[in-house]
Amino acid sequence: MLVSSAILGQAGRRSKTKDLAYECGMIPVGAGTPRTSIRFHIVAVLFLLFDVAVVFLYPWAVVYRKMVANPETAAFAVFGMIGFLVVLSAAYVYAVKQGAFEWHR
Amino acid sequence: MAAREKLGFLRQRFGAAIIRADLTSDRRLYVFVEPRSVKEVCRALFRELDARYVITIGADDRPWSGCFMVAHNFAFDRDRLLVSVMCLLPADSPRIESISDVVPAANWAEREMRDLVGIEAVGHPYPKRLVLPDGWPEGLHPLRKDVEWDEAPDCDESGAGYDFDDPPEGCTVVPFGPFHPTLDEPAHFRLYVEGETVRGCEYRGFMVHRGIEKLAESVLGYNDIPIMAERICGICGCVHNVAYAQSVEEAVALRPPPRAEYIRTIMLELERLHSHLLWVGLACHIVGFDTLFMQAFRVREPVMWIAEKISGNRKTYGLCVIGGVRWDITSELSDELKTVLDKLESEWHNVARAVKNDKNIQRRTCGVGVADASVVKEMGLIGPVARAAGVDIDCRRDHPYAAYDRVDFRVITAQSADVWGRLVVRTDEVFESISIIRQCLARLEPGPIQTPIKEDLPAGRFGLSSVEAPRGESHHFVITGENNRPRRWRVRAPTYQNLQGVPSMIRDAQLADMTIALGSIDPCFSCTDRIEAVDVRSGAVKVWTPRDLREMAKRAQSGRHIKDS
Amino acid sequence: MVFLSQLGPMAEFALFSAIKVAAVIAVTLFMVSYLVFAERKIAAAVQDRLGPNRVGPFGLLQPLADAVKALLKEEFTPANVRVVYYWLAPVIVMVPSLLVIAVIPFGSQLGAQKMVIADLNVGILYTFGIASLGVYGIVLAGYGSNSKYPFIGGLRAGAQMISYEVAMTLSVVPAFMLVGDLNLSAVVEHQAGGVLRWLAIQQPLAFLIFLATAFAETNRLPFDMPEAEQELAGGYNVEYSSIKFALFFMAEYANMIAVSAMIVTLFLGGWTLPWFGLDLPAQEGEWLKGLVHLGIFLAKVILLLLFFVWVRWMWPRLRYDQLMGLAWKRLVPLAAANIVITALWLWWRA
Repeated sequence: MLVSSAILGQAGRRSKTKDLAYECGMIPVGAGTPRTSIRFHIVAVLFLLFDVAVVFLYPWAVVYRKMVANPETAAFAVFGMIGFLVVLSAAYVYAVKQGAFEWHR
Repeated sequence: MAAREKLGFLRQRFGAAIIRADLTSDRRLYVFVEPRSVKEVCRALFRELDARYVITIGADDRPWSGCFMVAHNFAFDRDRLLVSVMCLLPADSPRIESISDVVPAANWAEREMRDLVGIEAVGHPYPKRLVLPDGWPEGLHPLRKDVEWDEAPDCDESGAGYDFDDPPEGCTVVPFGPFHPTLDEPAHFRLYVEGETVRGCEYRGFMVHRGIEKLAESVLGYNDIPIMAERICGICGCVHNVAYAQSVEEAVALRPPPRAEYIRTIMLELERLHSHLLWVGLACHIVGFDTLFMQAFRVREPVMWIAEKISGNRKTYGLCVIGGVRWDITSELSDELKTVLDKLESEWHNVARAVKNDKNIQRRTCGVGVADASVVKEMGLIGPVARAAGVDIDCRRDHPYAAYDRVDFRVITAQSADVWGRLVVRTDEVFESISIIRQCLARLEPGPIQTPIKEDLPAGRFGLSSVEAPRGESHHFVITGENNRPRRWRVRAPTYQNLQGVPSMIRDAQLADMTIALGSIDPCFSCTDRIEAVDVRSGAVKVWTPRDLREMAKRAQSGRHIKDS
Repeated sequence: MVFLSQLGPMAEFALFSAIKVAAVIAVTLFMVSYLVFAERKIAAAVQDRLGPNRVGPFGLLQPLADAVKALLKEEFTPANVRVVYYWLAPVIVMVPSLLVIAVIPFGSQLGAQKMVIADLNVGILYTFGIASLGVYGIVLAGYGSNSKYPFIGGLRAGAQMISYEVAMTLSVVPAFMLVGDLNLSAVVEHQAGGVLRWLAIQQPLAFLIFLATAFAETNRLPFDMPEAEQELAGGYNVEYSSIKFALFFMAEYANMIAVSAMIVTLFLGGWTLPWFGLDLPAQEGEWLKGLVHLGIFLAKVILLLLFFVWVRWMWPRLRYDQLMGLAWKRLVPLAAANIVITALWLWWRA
């Protein structure tokens, strides 16, 4: 599709103005990829942290019903994961306390 | 009475510095002051007597008095009084002490005076070019009488005319406008953004130069100007039309017949109706709620149709001449207008309920774009912006004109001082406007619609008129003149003052709130820019050559250091 | 048919897979174009307007006209962009949504063929993995454009999508605790046998969270921050034109279709319907039933898509900080609590 557009599309003239980045019609000031908020970085790190942790939940979720059905493994299945979640929520609470989710400060 | 009190206070306080005082009525006071005392008089009025700053006007009066003239206008809203502090400056050194450090609201007006009339405000805290285009030659002041109305100077096309400030440390420059989807008209805000937070901004506007005031002072006649005044703005044109006519009528002591006054009131309120309906729609559009935007426009449409039926135009009604109005409202039109109002009222109840009960709109507007009462006072903010901050001012009640002294209405205020407050104020004002039109229609009595003018209007008289536009007070100042046209006509649109409040509204706000904060003053750049620059060629419509662009890019990188206003 | 019987099992698999892939892509792209049309028509209806009605009867040929227009526009690459990323972005943004559909069982059986392109036993993990690739396209578009508005839009989009990704993956865990299998066909079979077996009913909280995150993942209003026209003038796609620009839009709608298909599969019983014995998969030879199952699945997806469209015209946009707050402070804890509650409940019942 991209190629066909390149072939079919109308040829236009190039000009300096046309090549400029869009800055509401003013001459661009500074870099096109400027310094940004540290918040984006924090969110990315938190995502890595939590998303990886969540992946661990999936195998557990799959076998959970079978494990609780068996009295021998039930307690392990329940408290093992609750323990895991407690650790995770400790991390979460810490992040909240640190204001990681306060976007505007 | 109030006028005498204020005058007494000034005489006692400043003694001989008060050269002369004209009390043309209980509601107008013109005080002529020694130039060196002007600043102190303004300070006394603004700080001690708590007057509201309106506008500063510079005029080239050399052909008549041999002097330049400066007028600082103030309003006492509780006392129904407008005061003009005037002084004459020698033709060879048109300099006057700046009042911007005691009256911050005068910032723009004094810069404009420098640009257009060449009267220097000495000690101005931020003496940058405001109105004239970038390449306009220094020292050529288009509103001086020795400059022809069609003068087209050689502009510096190299682009070396305007320096933007450097952004504060650690901030990125994010330009907002002139070409941005939420701006219907060109204006440029240079936002200093840290992360997602706006730390400050610089404004460069006045891109729509049309030279209207210069035309009025040089080419047009008294009764041509109302039609031209109307073209200042596509939304509140009728306001300028009426305000101009009233200021001339006041200057020459001419009273339009009562029927004309009622018709003016009806048309002004019709204009407020469609403007507020439009604004609520736009506000919804800005927060991404296009359904209400479309619905508001649908509800608004019958207002445009009835305006077209009455005046022949959806907008630019061509309403006023000096001393009256140009057409009548017949009884058929009156009946039809009543039907339109009934339908509008019931539909607007629905829209108002939808807007006011929407949690997301509240979340987007509460606490956003805050301008509290102190900002309102310092920057001279007016209209719904002031009323939303609990400042109870409305020219319709405070400086009554047309038939507003004969109808009952509530002035809607809110206390939250944010965008939400402005939304509530505008939404509710719609109902008041409907009620005002109904009262006017009920009291419309048969009679003439124009007061005939038998002889030439006297020259050299002053006239002031404040008309409450949908966005706030539109203030017109006129000095009558010879050859059937005024010597000086100055228009101060509400957005002119309200825009000066925007920097403090968006400081430390989120980038995402910029659009709704700016939108909340209902900006009208065409009103603000109106005028004055004579040369269209060097204005906003400028063909940029590659050489220009290179030059401008270089310039942008080596800006001067001046702090944000 | 003689020809078919002569094929080896590998060749037969390859042939039928190719047919299924082609059919699914064709149907998806067709739906994309008419979804745009439906969106415009519905918006018009909500707003008392007419909507597109010029091209063809009732404007039905509008999508065709749009496509031709996009193709014939000037193909323009501004000089200041990072060319490779700039070209790569629209491609990357389009592909994941098509890949996601690969593991969705969109019917039971037609002839001897199961109506799913790839019957993976870790289907849902694959889905999340692929879906989050979409964010690369948008971030790259922002970065590749080398311009402020797209850059901010791209970053916002990236942060938003990964934030909601966390809530999304958390929200469906309880569903899989009930099902006990990550294969999406198994999820559908679990829901057979009555509306009450649907996971939307059994796990309403998980369903609602997933629905909310689905809006955010597809950048739809009220979560369309990254492209917020009124703030960022369009966001990450500001510097794009012609078909490259159109691809971003098609990707948004393809994503909606993919996500709707996922919701239908996960929570709304997939291709099953608890009446007329439509819960059970079609046997070999039951061609009609197989086709009806396809129809049921499509109908459910379309209904959900219409819901997406309707919501867009009913709510204003959230602000960016409110959006991120909603994901991290509301949805994530809620989803986690839901997991614990489900775990305890299952334990108590066992």
